[in-house]
Amino acid sequence: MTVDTEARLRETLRSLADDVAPSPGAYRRAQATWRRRERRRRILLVVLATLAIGGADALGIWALNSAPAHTPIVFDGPAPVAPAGR
Amino acid sequence: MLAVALTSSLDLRNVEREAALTRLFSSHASQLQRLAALLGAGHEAEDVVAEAFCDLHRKWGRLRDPEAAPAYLRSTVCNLVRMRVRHLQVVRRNSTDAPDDAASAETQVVLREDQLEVVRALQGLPDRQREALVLRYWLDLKEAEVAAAMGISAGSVKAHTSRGMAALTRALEGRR
Repeated sequence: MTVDTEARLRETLRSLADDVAPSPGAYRRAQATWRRRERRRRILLVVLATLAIGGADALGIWALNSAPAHTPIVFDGPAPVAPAGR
Repeated sequence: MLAVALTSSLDLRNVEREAALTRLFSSHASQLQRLAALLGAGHEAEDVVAEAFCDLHRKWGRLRDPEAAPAYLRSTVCNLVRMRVRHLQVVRRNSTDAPDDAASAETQVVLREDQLEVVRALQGLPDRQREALVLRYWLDLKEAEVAAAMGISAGSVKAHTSRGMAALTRALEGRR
């Protein structure tokens, strides 16, 4: 009985599948979609990178700007004195 | 100099990816569309296939081997159709007059009465069982390949296939 069911199932699925025909412009439409999405992804990536770099720059400038003008930022000890005779 | 080399390498990769996808589309798209239609995608079978190719385009760099692409596409189509069928089930449950989008295949295809019985019996099966039967008996895939396409173990495929076939046999006997 299963053999009979199997044969009927195969035959029916084949008949149903044979009726499905891809439309001629399917490839062009799919290609346009994946290209559009790729472009959108790249634009988003560029925007995010620009925002991250711009944010980091702004933070750095703000930090430098908010430090007191007379306080050395890198070295805060007395300047080393060169030994005499050299 | 480095930027130029990087850009030309990226362009080359894009060209290769496009060429590979074009080849895949011409060799597999029609079979995938038929698979989507048999699994219940109805009129959206073509959109499902396009979506699967877009997904492959995005993940092309992560594909371990270009030979694995057809199996990846099959698996994506199965997942997308399953999601669509579930969505339609929810829509139907929440709305009494929702359009019957899965306009059953028999309304579009001229089938014999005995084939219509098989279609109706198939539609009565749970999604996973129907999926396993279509992949096994229409695509003639091996158990391991069906398992990869459905994202389950080979043992589960065996269980779904035998339960599906038993339910189908019972349903067909009941209609005689």
